[in-house]
Amino acid sequence: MSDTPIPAPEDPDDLVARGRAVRYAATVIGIAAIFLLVFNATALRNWSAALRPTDLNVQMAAVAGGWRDTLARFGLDAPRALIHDAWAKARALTFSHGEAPAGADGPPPG
Amino acid sequence: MLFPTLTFGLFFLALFALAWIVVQPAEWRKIILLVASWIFYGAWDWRFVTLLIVSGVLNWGAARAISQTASPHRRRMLVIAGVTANLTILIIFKYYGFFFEQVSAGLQALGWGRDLPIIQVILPVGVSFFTFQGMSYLIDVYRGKLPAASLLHVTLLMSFFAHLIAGPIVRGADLVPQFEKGPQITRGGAALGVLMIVWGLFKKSVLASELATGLVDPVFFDPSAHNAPDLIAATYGYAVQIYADFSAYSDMAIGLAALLGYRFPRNFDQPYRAVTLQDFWRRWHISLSSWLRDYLYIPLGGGRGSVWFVCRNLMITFVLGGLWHGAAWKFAIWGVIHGVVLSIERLWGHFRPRRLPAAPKWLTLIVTFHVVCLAWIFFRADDFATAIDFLAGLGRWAPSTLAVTPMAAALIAFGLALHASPPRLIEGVAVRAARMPAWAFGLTAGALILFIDALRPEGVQAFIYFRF
Repeated sequence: MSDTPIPAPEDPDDLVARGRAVRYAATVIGIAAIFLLVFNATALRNWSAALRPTDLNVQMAAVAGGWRDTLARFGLDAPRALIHDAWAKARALTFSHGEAPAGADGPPPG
Repeated sequence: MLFPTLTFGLFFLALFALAWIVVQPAEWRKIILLVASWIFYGAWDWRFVTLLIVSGVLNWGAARAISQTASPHRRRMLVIAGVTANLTILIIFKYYGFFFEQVSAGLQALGWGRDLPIIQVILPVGVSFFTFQGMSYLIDVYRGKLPAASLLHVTLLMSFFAHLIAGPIVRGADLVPQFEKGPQITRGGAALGVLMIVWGLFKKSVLASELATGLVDPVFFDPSAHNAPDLIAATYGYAVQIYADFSAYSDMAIGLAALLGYRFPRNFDQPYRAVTLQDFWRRWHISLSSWLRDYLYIPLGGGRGSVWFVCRNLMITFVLGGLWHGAAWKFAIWGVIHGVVLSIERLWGHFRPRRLPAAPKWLTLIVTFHVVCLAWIFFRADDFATAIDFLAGLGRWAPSTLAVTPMAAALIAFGLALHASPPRLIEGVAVRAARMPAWAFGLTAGALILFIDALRPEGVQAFIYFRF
C-alpha cells in the first residue's frame, strides 16, 4: 500500500471493532447534519430555492423556507449571520482606507 | 456534482448509510458504490458514463487476456494494444482539436491554407485521471505486480466517485486488494476522514475561492492593466490558490473514501517547503509524479546512464507531464520549465566542485518556490501570449493599481504559513479528536462547517483540476 494518512485496523478481521467504528462515524455525521439543519437552515433554503422548479422542488423550497423562518424567529440564524457580516467587513478593508476593489466583496450567502 | 455543495452532501449521506447497511453480500455493496459513482459522474453528462464503462471493460478485457497468455511476445503485444486504446481515448477527447489547430496553422504558414474539418469534441471531466488509472492497472498486471481483477473490481477501480474527477490516481495494486478484503474502518480513520473533509472544505471554499475572485482572476484576466506589485501578489496568490484548491479535492477524496472504508494514498505533503524541484515533486500531486516516474521516466531509462541521458529522460517526462494537463503550449512550457530546472539540478549535482559548500536550505527553498511560481504563471495564464504579457509587467514598477486587500494578503500569508506547520498536523489533531465522545466531535464538525459556509462567497467554482 502506498503512503496513506488513513490508519489501518490492528485486526482487519475484527468485525466488532469495525461495527463500533461505523457507529461512531454515523453518530458524528448524524450530529453534524442535525446541527447544520438547525443552525444553517439558510443554506438549505438557498439550495432548495436554486433547484429546477418542478412541483416537488417548489414544495421542498417552501418547506425549507418555512423551516428557516421558524428557526430565525428563535434567533438560531444569528451565529451564521454574525460570522458572515464580520467576514464581509474584513473583506471590504483596504490598505489605503479607500473603496474595496470591484469583485472583492462577494454577495451575501443568505 | 461538486464536493462542496449541499447536493453532494445529501448524495453522500444517502450513500454512506446504504453502503454500511449493505455490507454483506460484499458484491452488492460494490455494485451500490459503482452505480452511485455513475450517478455522480452522470450529473455532469450522462453520455460520458458510457465512455467510463467502455474504458473499464476495455482494461478488464486486456488485463484478463494478458494474464491468460503465456507467450511473452503476445503479452507484450496485448499490453501495447491496451495502452494504445487508452491513449486513443485520451487523444480523441483531449488533443484532437489542438492537433488540428496546429496542422491548420502550419498549413496557413506554408501558404497552403485550408479550412480543415475541425470537430468540437467535448472534454469528459476527469478523462486524464481515469485513463491513467486504466493504463497503470494494465501495466501492473503485465509486470506481474497485480493479478487480473474481476470486471466489477476494474470498473469500480476506474469509476469510484471519490477519486474519479481529480484524483488521487489510485493504483489498482492499492485499491483492488481493498475491494477484495472488504471495507475497513477504525475510529481514528473515521475521525481523520471527517477532519480531512472539513479541512478540504475550508481550503476550497474560503482560501482558494477568495483568492481567485478577489485577486488572481482579475489580475490574470488582463495583466497589462496591472503593475508589478499586483502581478507579484497575484503570482503568490495563485501559488496558494492552486495548492488550496487541488489539495482540498485530494483531502476530501481521501476523507470520503475513509468513511466508506477505503484508504487512498497521500497526494500532497507541504509542497512549498521543498528545497529542490526534485523534492517538490515528491510533495506535489504525488500520485501523478509517481505515475510518471514508474510508467514513463523509468521505462525511458530513468536515472541510469550518463547525466545527459538522464536529463533527456527528465525533459521528455515533464513535457509530456505538462501536456497531460491540457492540449496547449502553455502547459508544454510549464513542463519545459520543470524539466529544465530538474536537469540543471542533476547537472549541478554531477559537476559541482566538491569543495564548494552547499547552499543554505532557506535559500534553496526560496529559489525552488520562485521557480515553481514562474512556471505557475504559464499554467494559469489564458494562453502563452498572456503569460508573456504577465512576465513583461513584472518589470513595470509603479504603485499597485488593484490595491491588494488586507484579506488577500492575509490569505496568502496563511496559505504559505501552512507549509511551516508541523508535518502530519491534521493526523495528530485526528488522534485527539477520536478521543472525544462522538456527539462532541459531531457538534464540533457541524460548527466548523457552519463557520466555513458562512465565510464562503455564494456559488462554488469548479476545482481547477476538473478540466484535466
